[in-house]
Amino acid sequence: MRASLLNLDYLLPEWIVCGTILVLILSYLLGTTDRRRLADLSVLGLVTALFFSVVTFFEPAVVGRVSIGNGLLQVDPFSQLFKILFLVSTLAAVLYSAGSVEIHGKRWMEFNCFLLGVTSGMMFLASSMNLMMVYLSFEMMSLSSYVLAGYTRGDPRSTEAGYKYVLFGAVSSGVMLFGLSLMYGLLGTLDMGLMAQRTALAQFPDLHLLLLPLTLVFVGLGYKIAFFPFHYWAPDVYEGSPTPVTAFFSVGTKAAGLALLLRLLLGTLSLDQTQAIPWAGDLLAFLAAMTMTVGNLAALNQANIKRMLAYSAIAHAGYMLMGVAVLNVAGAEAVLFYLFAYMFTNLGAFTVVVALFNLYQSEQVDELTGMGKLFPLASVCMAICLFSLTGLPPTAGFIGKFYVFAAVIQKGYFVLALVGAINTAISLFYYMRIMKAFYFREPKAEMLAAGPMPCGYNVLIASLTVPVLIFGICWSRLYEYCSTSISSLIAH
Amino acid sequence: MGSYLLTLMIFVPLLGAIAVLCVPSREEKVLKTVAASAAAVPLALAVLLFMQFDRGSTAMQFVERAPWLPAFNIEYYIGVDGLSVPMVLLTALLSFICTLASWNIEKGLKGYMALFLLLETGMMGTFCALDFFLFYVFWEVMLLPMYFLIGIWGGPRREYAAIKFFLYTLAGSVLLFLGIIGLYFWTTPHTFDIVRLAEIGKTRPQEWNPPFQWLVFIAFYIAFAIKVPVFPFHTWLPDAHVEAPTAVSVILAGVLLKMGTYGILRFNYPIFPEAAQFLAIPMAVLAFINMVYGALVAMAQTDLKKLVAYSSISHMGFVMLGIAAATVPGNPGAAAAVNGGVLQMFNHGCVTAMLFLLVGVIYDRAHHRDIYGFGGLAQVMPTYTGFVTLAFFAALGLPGLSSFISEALVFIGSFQAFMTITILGTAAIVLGAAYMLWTLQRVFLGEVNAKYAALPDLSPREIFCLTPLAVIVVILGLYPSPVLDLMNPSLTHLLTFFW
Repeated sequence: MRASLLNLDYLLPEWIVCGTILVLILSYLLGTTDRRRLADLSVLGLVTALFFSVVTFFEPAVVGRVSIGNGLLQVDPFSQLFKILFLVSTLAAVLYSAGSVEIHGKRWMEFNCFLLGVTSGMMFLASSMNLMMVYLSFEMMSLSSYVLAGYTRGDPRSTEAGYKYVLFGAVSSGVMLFGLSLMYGLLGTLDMGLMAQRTALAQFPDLHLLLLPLTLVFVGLGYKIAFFPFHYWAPDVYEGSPTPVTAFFSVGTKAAGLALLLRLLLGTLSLDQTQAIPWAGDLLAFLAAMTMTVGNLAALNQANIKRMLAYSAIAHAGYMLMGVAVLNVAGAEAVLFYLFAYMFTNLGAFTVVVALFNLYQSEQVDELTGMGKLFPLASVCMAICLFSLTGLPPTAGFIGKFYVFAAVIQKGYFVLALVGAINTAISLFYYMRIMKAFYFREPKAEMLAAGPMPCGYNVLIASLTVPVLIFGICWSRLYEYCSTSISSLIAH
Repeated sequence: MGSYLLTLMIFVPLLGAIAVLCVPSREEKVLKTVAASAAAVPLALAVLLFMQFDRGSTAMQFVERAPWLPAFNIEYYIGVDGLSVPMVLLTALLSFICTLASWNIEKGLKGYMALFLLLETGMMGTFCALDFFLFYVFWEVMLLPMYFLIGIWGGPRREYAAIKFFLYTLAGSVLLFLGIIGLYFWTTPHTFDIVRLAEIGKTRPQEWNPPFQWLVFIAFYIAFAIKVPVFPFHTWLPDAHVEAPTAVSVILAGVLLKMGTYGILRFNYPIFPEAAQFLAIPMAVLAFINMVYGALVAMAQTDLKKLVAYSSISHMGFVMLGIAAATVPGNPGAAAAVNGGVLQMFNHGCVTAMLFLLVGVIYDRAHHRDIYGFGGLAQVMPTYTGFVTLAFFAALGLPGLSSFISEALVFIGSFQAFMTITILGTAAIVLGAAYMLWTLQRVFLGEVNAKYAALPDLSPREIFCLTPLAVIVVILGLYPSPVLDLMNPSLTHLLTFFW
């Protein structure tokens, strides 16, 4: 491990994202108010950051884990993989918002700065190795996202979303902070590397004591990832937020929460110790089962496509939690793979939602009839994404489910696997409701009047859907990267 | 080419689908030609396969193997034996006929043909896959086009029928999926290789003892039973068959139903022979219910297509009875039963395809299918009546036509295994004769219905679609050996799992 205060070059992606914020503000002050120009700038920044994240992922020094700032941050394949995930979702959100009718041109710069602010918070969170740093970056991410949720001030739904998000978020942050401080008290250090050593050496008399702080932290994260029973805010916030933000929350924020959860459970408490805590796995399994069931059942009756996808996002958090619940390497790898599959799929589906909202100002499933005829490419991509969300081959979503179920069955949680399987069948029903509207019904007369889908959206939709298919057929490389990441997390 | 024969057969339709998508949709002629040729290639290859297949061997033939995901031991592993070759033949034949039968599709011809060819890829792959993971992928890939084909081109209640079909099948598939993963982890070294799993299954390993064996067997059985469909999982069938467009009903009844029984023979029996033997009687009882209940419900139908749909349930019951009887230890007729069962799969595929095509013909002309709404069609459409009579007689098991042979073999084989069930089961034949003959009488005999006095007889295209099936039905009724020889070695080998 390369330990030094000055490995700052490894944080290049973060610097670039932060720098992009400054550049955006400066160019706005210097008179560039054109949305397109600003979007070009931020896309440029994000792509560069993405490039360096990918480069650092493969760097041998990073594979050996680079410590920064006396253990405050750590750059390892695990953190880099998550950064790639965050950056891709941010990129998608920026591109969505660049053409979105929901976000007004004049305030687009602010919007974008907040978005990048959330991203940088997430990126630091993925690298945090110190509880203080964890909390700081967690709050950086949260505070900016509260603003994003309530961004369209004129829309009461958005205001409600922002307000709800702040209230729930503040409580959950508080609970989490309490948990973190208890951990500090019990283990005598804020450094997660040291914590790992202390728990691994079993100097600690009774690991059961850790159950309380862990539970509290879990509650805090549960709000962010939207687990049962901490998911109540999610549908309202997702429905009320501007659609680009919803897409971003449903992928990026969830991923950030999972990054921290995995690092805490697998990186900080060594694996066998976590398993030694009684009921931890079973409790997580129960929550996983409840999360997906609640999400799927509630989604069945949703007529609003955003709200439906919000409940679907809750259900997917449940599937991912299945992989966490097994508390082993196979499960964690499955979660990572699942996250990647879910990211492409969900962003792809949301692109279609955004594009259609721009054209029709409608989010109602039953109003969007006959889209298959009007927008063949977008509809086919939507179909592929929905099949992937259901978990049907040959899509990435299926492979993700395969890994998760494999981990669960190997561990012997048969009931959980069965619940997951039944949920898959249930989820088909509401996803296919969208397909039914798109393909089985004729377009309404007033729908025909709207112009063609902007070319940019078609490209974006296709470029998010193609990976869904590719990773459904040749996924072994991506899985290897997930494995590398998890082993960098665990090898202490 | 020999070694890539199966791969070509599976993926040429997929390439055809892509080609179809590239043709502009106003060029209907080109679309149809491309689609028909993409379906003709697998048919030609299937005939080649039929000629080249080594009838003496029980091993998998035309095997192709390549690693797909080495970390999980997942392979691209395909091959055929005597069980799958008849199914592959049936799939290739019916798919080709159906592309021709779909030439009168009016809306969205391009999408229709592309989905249809994708469906063929899924079906071919399902019958050829020897890796469980691969099998599952093809099994599910088949569902997607089917959902759209029913939902977009179906009848008035198509939305309901499509989602019902999809949900039922998916519910079964996810159970199958769990079973596959469970099986994978319960073998050392972990494997998805179906041939290897069967070898392990034959030794009846200790670690597969109950409850594991039971759970997986039942998971598989439910998945396949939904497809067959076995009572009480059959309710999707009448809806889907009735709402689907003609060609899709043909594929549903002709090929997809066979996948259920194929799955039971390919997976349940060789991998879990012990559980299969133990559950022989429940399976036979379900088969009996299918046979008689299906026939009774068919008798009550007034919609011609529904009648054919329920007759499928009844006829698949014969298959189930045959394969259930094969597992009974010491049954001297086991070989006859299982051969009869698989032959019945093939024969029912041909006969029911004819029936659905014929129903489609009349529906295209009269725009309804009410059995009581016609009358005297024999005078109006003589050629049509000839084909219908042949198909109906074949369906009711008239000696000299193909179904007679397979049904007779099933009854001979199952008599000593389940005497009561077999004797009671013959009622299904009587009932079958009853509803078939009554329908014949109501639709074709009697006074000519003035409304339909001017219906045109079969067009050359329709005759072209029906003739090969009619020829097969007659030839296999008189001389079934070409198909029986094909499957007998593999099926006899399967029986060794129970001795």
